[in-house]
Amino acid sequence: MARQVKVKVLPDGSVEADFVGFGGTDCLDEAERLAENLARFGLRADPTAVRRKTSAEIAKETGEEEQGRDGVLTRSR
Amino acid sequence: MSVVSSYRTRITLSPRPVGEDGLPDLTWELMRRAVEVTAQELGGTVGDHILDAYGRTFRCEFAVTTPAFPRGVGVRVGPDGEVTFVYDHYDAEGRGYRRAAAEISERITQNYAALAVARALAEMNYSVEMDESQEGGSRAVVVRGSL
Repeated sequence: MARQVKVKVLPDGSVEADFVGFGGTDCLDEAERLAENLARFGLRADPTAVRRKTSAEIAKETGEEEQGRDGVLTRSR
Repeated sequence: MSVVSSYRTRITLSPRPVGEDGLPDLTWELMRRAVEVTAQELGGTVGDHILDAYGRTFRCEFAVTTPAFPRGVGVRVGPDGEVTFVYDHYDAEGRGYRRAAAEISERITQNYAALAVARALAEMNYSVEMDESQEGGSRAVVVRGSL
């Protein structure tokens, strides 16, 4: 899956960055790189929250089908 | 692991608009562009001064004047590159100046942040697209980077 970064910039200038298609801790490394580069362009970015995506969000991104059974999410392969 | 990260941001320009190499500083160029885009979006113009309620002129590095707020919002850059918005929203006649001035300064902040994100992602070799969306009645700028 191609790697993507989707950044939403809100009216107060705060940003929410969604890292798609990164495995392991790569997304954290990429988030750090992004913050370093933003500083070069005059935008200091201080993290206020980091949230792990739910399995449903990840499945939606990867296009994997989710099946609910007894309240447990499973992924088809 | 996939994450969504949220950041509070603060704009700090380089102390001087021109680098030691004589070229325009990148952060000042981004601010100039953010001001131009804001003026364009709000039907205004870019200048170098604002007016107060008494018609007095105040110089600033950049200024945006719009039909909704003809006195204008100025951008001043301190010795450390700190950015301050200056305006006089005194409004005894209920013309909505407070809201109009806030909208201009918010737009400049938002456009600067979006431009900085786009440049940063491009620097990281992403292909970049920019778009707008509405988030609970407010405008959000969405910057997408693809590898």
